[in-house]
Amino acid sequence: MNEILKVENLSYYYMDGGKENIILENVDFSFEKDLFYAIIGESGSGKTTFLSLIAGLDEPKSGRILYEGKDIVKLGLSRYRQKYAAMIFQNYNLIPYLNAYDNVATALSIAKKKIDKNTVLGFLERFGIDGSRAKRKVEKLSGGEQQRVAIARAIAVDVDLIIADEPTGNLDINNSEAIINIFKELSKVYHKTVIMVTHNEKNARAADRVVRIDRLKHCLVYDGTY
Amino acid sequence: MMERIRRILWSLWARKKETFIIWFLVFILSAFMTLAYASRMANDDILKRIEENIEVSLNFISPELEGYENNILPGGFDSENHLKMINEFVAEVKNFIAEYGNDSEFVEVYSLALEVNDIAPMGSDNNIYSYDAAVFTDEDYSIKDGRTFAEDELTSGARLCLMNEYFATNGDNMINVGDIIYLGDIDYQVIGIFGDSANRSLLDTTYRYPKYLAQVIIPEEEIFALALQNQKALGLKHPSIIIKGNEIDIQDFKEELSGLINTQTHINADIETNEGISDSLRKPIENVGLIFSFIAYSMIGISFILLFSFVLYLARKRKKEFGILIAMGQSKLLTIGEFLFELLLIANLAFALSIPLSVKMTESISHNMINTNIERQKRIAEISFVDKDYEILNEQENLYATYDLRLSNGEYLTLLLMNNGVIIISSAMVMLLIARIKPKDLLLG
Repeated sequence: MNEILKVENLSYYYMDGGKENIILENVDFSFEKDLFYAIIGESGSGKTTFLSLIAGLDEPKSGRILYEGKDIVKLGLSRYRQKYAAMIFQNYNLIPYLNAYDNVATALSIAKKKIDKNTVLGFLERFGIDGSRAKRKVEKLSGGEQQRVAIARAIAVDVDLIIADEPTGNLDINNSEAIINIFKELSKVYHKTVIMVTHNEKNARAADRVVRIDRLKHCLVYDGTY
Repeated sequence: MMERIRRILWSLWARKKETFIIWFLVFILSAFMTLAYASRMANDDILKRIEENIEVSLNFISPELEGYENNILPGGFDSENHLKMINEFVAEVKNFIAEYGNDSEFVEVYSLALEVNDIAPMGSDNNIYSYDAAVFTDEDYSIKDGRTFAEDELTSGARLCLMNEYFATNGDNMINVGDIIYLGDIDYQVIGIFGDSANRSLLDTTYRYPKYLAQVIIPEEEIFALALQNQKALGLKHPSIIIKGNEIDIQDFKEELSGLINTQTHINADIETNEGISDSLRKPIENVGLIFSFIAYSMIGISFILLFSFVLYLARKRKKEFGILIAMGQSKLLTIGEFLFELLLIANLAFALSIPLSVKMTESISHNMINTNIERQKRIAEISFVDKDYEILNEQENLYATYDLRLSNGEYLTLLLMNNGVIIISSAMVMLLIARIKPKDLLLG
């Protein structure tokens, strides 16, 4: 079996004026290893909620999320985020007062990984951040560069699952393409499973699998590939 | 670990302004906490020393104060038993000589003749050997009625005296200028009444019980006799007079003392208990303590609220940063720990300056307000008695001295822990805030 992440009977709702507002209902889905997934759906369909659940940023109201067969809630969400899944955000979410190098090193220290200067610089270099940019405060870098630092941060901790929330949402076309190519490379060359939420149909087409969230049925529908 | 410390230091450096504000608020907070603590310590110290002093002084206040009634008064002595007491004393000296031999270099006698000297009523006769006119001009003991001694009276042999207002009006005394009083069988004419210090500022701990103002001017032998009487009557425990020489004619000694005893006449006065005097001294010091405490606790309150609010504001501003760390898998507990570490690092940098500075400040303020320097004095006086020379070793604490505050290492440590505790309390809300962070709400679009 080649699945890395499996959701079983997953439901999520929030209370709104005493009434349950259902976002996801009895969702079942499996993500396979080394593939690049795109999750699409209308605004408010629950894409981000689904992403936050599989990233271990929130707990499901019912159902389970299994990472390589282990329930991530039982595993401990902090531990899951630390050891098994890395997140890339639309607005990068780097630590602003640190430089690119220290942002990556921080992630390594949280993941309790050895920090080797050359390795960290190597990661940054690989994603287009050279030595001089690595020493710059991240707020001095362009949007595209900041997103590359965020990707380097996610890759450096050496997890198999990369979850990205609209990673190209704040980038121009050229940078968007470059980031999508990096994701493809991550799945093909580095054997990572990438799950990306996107509004952008063109970006979705670049993925191996496209999953649509049905707003009315509150469930995931496998759309195949474009 | 190193990476974490590096990140914390960067975080402090990147927010220099905020770091400085926290440092400053902690500095103010801890300076006033130290002030409150140290001034309390200092007051306790002063009170303790004053009480010790009172204890000593009371013992020697009795010869001229006690009522000379038939009963043995608490803290006083029974005049009817004077001779008996002298005899007992002589017997004790004999025993001492028997034990240590006639060749012993010193024979110790238990009394503080100079203490008697310090507290007896001020008088004037041909045996004057200490008189300082400045007492009545420079030291607030103003003449209420009458006058002080004239220059020629100091050596003329005129038997005159100045009376403390307290003595003059105390109990049945009702003494006025022109009245004659008796000390021993010698009559003295009262030429002036001087005010006591009761109207001095309550901030002034040199305020002393009026009875302490008087100064003896009576013959040395008489002083010595009074001292001897007191020694047994009051059961003094600490020898403080050293009689130099190894030959004492016990019989002469006894006769001389017996003669002196029979000449005693009396001045009416009340016996004060230690407690009464202690309370009257305690009050001004406690008033100082109250003022210190009020200022210090107000400042502690204000700076604590400011620090609490600012730390909370800063934590809110950094909420997203905490969210990022938590999203990367850092536990909330560790995130709280890191924040606390940052805060305590700044705080302890502030303490390093504020605590010693504040101790110094307390010392300086106290010195100016209280103007009291407590120090131990040792005086040796020589007297002649029964054709022998004696040395009197008088050891006492001088209440008119400088305020001296020293904190031990343990007290410094207490202060440091106390300050750190307050900083931790001030960040309680931040801990709650971090514990309630949901990275999903902060980081996802």
